[in-house]
Amino acid sequence: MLTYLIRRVLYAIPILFVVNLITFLLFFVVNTPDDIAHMQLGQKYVTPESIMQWKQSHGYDAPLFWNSESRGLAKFSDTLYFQKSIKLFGFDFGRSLQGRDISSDISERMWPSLAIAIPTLIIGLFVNITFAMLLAFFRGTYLDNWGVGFCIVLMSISSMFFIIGGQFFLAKVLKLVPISGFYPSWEGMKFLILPVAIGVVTGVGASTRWYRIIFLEEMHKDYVRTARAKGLSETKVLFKHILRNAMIPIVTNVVVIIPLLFMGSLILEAFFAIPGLGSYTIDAIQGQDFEIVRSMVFLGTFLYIIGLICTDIAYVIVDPRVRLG
Amino acid sequence: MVFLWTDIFLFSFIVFFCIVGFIAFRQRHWQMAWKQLVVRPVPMFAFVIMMSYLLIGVIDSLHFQTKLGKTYSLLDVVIHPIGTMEESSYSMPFATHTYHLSESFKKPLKQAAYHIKSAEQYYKDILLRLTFALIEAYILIGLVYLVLAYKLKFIYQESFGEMFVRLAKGQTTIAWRSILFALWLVIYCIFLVYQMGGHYYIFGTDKVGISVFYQAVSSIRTGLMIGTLTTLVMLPFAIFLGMTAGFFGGIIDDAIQFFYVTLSSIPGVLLISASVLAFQVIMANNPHWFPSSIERADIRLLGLCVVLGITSWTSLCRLLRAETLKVREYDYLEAAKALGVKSGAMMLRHILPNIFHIIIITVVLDFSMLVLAETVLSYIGVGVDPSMMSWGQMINSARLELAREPIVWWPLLSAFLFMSVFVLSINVFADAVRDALDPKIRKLV
Repeated sequence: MLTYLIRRVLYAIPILFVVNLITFLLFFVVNTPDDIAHMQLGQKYVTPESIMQWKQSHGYDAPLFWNSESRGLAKFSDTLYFQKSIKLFGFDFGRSLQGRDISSDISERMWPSLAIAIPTLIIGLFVNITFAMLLAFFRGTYLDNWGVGFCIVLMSISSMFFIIGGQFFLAKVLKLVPISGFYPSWEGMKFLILPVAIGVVTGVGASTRWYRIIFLEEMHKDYVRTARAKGLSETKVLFKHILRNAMIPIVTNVVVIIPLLFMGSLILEAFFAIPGLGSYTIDAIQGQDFEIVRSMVFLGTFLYIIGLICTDIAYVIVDPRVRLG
Repeated sequence: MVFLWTDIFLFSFIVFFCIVGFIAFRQRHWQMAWKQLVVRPVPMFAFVIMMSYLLIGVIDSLHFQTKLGKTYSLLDVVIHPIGTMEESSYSMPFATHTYHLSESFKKPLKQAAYHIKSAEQYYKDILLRLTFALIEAYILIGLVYLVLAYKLKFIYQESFGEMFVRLAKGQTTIAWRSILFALWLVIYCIFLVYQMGGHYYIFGTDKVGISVFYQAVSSIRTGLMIGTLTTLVMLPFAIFLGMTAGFFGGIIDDAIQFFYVTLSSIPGVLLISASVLAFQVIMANNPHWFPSSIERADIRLLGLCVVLGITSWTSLCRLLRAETLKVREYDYLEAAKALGVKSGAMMLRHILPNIFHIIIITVVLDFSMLVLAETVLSYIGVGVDPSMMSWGQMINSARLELAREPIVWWPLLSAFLFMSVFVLSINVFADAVRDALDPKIRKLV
């Protein structure tokens, strides 16, 4: 187990390294620092001097990979690749193009993201499993057919419509909840209701349909027949036997996304003006702040790889048949 | 006749799919799957709707140029004058006046409803046009119905009258009744557009006074392009790498696996945004590549599709690799190897046909996801060119209009209608395709 984990961690390092290199190439070789300076200063009325000055003040004036003017190790370390890219491995995200410290921004904005993402995940999981079990229990009936149809309808509606529609009908017309905003206290809970509800609704269609198939697959296995042959009631079979076995694929698939919850939900946060990492990323993309985008790509990849490793561990914990070696 | 890059790719996609379909249909198990599909009423209904969207997209992809260098599509000609009508600002669907809170500001529309003099005449006119379209649609579909009944009576060996009743009751093997119903709906909509189009704004006008209906219809091409071109980019990567990894194993497998794990571990939206941002900088630095704004928008759409394709092939690749690993162990492959069949031929002739159902299932399932993804990307600001019409752009510009006083709801509603009907029909059809092709799911219920 331990050797397996060490091997997985060692396998993750080259992946992070390549991702880091890809983003570096994307932002520094495809677009030269001159282009970035042009973008930031505006296309018109830029003199070469002002570009030089901008590059100097943001640390973009070093060569890309190899600095022949420095000595010793500084030949590597005095380059853009080292300063901007390698330092990410130490979680030193540097400063955004506006001059703010990215690391402190991230640690500050992480909490509002989690305040939305965790309730959405838990409530969503509960709702999806309930619906999927209901459909699987009544398989082949009208309820099942209409339920699956309803899931397909939900899947076919863009999440933008759920957000806009929810904000309009529930918040503006009916005035049940505030339209948008965030306030970190107990009174601020009312701001969370609508985004969490919409986050759950947008996920219901696809997940329920998928969980239903997992439940149906379990229902056709031998142990279920044995349980029924013992004379157990159908509900008991469903809750005591099928649910526990179906939880294996469900739990392991949820574990992957748990670390990514930190990243927040992009459009949900932007629409509800929640100061989380999702809206931070969107602002960075819209403002073409490449420093922040690069940091978020690195962070996202890192969290995803953590998620993958956690999945392996989760497999061992929930399914005693699995041995890692 | 002008050919934009995306047009060429769309047509090559369609040709490619026709060839694949033609080859597949000579095989018995594909015929069986298709037979399973055509008997189900709801998927066939969705199929007709999907095909009408495809047809509109294709018509909209045939571009022409005037002598002055203005590009227009065949669709613009077909629905003329809807594309050229213009007002000064908002007007409601089927309105006769512009949209204002106070009565005194309301002005008669410039290019629509000019023949209307009184309120009584207005309702009469609308009612008349609705009825005319209905009658026309019934006549046309009635003709189709009669021809179909006449053709089918030879297959069922019944009299014409019996066949007529059988069709109406929906007791045919192929779900003809639901196909006819969908056709009737489509034809009715087309006639409605012809009756109303030149005289009213069917879905009103937007802020700058352009017909919202025209925007929503033109967006069909964009949505279609994103789905098809991305698939076209994605398929070679996924099929080639997935099969190679599964077939050869060893170090090739390791290298390909590392490649796709790396790519899939970058959060999708971020990778897409980063690539599109980089692409935009290249385009901003080389304005001389694009002589006209329409070509610029076209290249940007192509770039977006390439980026989406490169980021989305990994899941299919993983599935194909796993399936190839399974197929590789079958006896007949062992036999082929013993007979000295070369690796390339083995993959093409023996493995590809056996993993092909996975490709089809994934392509149709992913298609709707891509159309939906466009709305999110447009909102973030890394979607299609602002000069290009798309549902994402419509939603994006319409979302603040709900907060206006008085509220403007029709741009959002029309984007919602057009997009949801399209995505829903694809999803329903995809679901049925999966049922027909995946033996595992077929057995479950």
